[in-house]
Amino acid sequence: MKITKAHGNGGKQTQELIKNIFVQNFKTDPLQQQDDAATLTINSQRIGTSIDGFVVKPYRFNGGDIGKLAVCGTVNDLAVCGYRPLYLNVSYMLEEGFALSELALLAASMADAANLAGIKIVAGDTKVVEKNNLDEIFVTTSGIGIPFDEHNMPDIGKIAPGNVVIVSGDIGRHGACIYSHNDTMGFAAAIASDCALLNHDIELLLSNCEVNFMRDLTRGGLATALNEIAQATGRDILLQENQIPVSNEVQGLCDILGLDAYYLACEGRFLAIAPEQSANKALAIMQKFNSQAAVIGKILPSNNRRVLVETAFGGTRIVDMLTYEMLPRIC
Amino acid sequence: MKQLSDRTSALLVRQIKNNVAAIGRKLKILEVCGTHTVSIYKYGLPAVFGQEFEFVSGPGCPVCVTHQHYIDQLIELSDSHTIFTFGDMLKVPGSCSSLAQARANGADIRIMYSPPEAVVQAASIGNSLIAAVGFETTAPAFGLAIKMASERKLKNVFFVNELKTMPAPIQMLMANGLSTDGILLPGHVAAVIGVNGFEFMRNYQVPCIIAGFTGLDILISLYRITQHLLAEPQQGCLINQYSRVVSTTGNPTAQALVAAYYEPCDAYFRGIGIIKAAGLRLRPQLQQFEISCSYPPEAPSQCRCAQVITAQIQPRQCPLFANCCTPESPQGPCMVSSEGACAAYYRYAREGLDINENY
Amino acid sequence: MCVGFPAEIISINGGSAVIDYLGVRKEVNIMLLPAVQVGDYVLVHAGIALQKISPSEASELFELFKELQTAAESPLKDQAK
Repeated sequence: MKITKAHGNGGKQTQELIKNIFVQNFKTDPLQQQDDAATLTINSQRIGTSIDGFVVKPYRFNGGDIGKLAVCGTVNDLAVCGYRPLYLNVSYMLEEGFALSELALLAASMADAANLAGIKIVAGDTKVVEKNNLDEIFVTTSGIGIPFDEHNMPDIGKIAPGNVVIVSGDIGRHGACIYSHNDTMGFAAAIASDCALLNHDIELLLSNCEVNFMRDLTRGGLATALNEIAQATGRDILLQENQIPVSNEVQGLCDILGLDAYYLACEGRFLAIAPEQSANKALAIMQKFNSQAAVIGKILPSNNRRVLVETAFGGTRIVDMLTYEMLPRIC
Repeated sequence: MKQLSDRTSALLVRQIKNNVAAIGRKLKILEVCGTHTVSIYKYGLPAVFGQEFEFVSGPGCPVCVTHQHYIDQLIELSDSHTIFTFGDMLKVPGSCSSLAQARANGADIRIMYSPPEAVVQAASIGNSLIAAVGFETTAPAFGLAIKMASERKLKNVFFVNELKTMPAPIQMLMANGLSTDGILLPGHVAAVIGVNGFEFMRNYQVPCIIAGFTGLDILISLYRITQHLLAEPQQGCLINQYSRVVSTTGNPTAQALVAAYYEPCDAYFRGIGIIKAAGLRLRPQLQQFEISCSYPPEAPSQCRCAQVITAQIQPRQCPLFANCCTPESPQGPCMVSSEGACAAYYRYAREGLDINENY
Repeated sequence: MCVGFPAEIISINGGSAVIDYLGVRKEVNIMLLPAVQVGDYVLVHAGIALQKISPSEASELFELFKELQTAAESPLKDQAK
């Protein structure tokens, strides 16, 4: 068996890789939680830490670039776990021949995003790899943060039947953006990515209403995040298809290429799971940041670990984990 | 418009249920197109019509009916050629590997979206192979591609042909005594070959509907089938539900293009065997562009895909289904293609769809 | 077996055209539809425009809606017991 691209899509194979290779070898508690960020306690101070690698191609896309993306990724991972991001470490891997002027632009973009997030970039590393041994530029960021509110931490264990699932905006933009940049497919203009910082929105949400759990939607998209929640809680999750916000252009790209928007990556969207009584308040706050925010489903009492969606005709189907890289298809 | 189609859909569901109640038995509906399979599951129709319909599949997913040896041959040729393929084919298992694994091992395998675009790309690199699979809908795209390759007198671009046509396998199903109460015919095949291309369906005592692919299209088609069964239960019919796209004659330019470059041949359908005149191969004067594939007999297997795609059983009736055969490790082709009957069933409905909302 | 979508022709340049589908613009091959014009709707599969689409859908749907509504209002003969 060798690594295939399916091991990197956030779906079933990625999960198996983490379980069978990494958790198996490292055996540390926080890693086994498989949250977006790990919780540590140092001298009785609770600290969140997270790391994320970025290999996006093209490295500059409509709505952002790999510099901004690398800040958003780690900041958002910390924020959805209830941490105010404080410090960021950055590693650049560069291909021999990469233009210095480009690197300067990406670094400036990274600095802008970090300023907006209120996070300080404190340590860095640079490696250069021989021509053709790496695709232009890879960036890795790692961050630490402290709780927004130590007494109100999101926790997957708080999720209970009847809880409401809210998505913070329309889904699939980043994934659709990257597909639409593929110049062999003849798209006339690229869809804008949703790449954005979420920490300020989340801080306001947490300080104003009760939220049980949050997860940011990155690779693997909505379907993957919900399946992870269904597996971790053991519960079924029931979605309403006609409530899930998908923009026309993202749906259009999906129809053209035979893709499913539920699996497309987002880089500036999160799920909030809230008790029924605070759902309206949470939704109202989330809609202030993005008018597309919507209640899309709820946690069921049944214990079959399924994500189900009720279709417009009143039918039901399973929304499964992604089992392979999602590829454009014509059949 | 949206409101009108929503209200129409609701009325359709109700009226279909009334009609089936009046007919007095559960109806077996055959679809022969993988995109119909996926639509039916995606819209949750097996759950909506659990009492009314049993949906069965025919051999209309090109990935599902492709012989393992075709994949083996592409993998072998990937040592010396860049391979252009539709994304659908990438993880189909050959006898011991897949194109995805070959790519992981360093082969240059590229996902093609449009065959003529693939020729343009292929022209500027070394020896290239274009994997030509599909039915009548896709054949014109390969016709344009071969036209381009031959007009530019390209010496480095080759096609491995596995193009197939729809009428022969449907005729085979009918000749084998398939029992069905209604057939959804593939709308996009009909867009090319026209209603005329399916006139032969009038020979059978079954309502046949050329159907589109939206949920509403499928509901209307199911409604027409039930209306027909109520009115003339002894008669067959051929109805064109997808008339916004499908004309009587189809696309004559596309048909002429395909006829100019391809000729009918026997074709191998995985799990079924050779079907006479069910394939297309390049005409003799173009054979310098074709790498042909020969098919040894398939190894015996417990896989029952052949019965799934000939509408004899449901995926769950196969002993391998969801046991050793899953989308991550597919044993048979119907589990491979995302539009394969087994994969669609696995993804959308395998664990039952009962919902308990009582707290 | 065939992913296809209905798109509007925005501009034509020889054998290819730019189409719009739900706000997504893409280049497609129109060599199989010689008479196609800007503003026409076409069915696209694998980057090829395969068939012109007739615009009569809305009125057909309305006819069907009326037919179903009439059926829903009249008691079903077969259900009378």
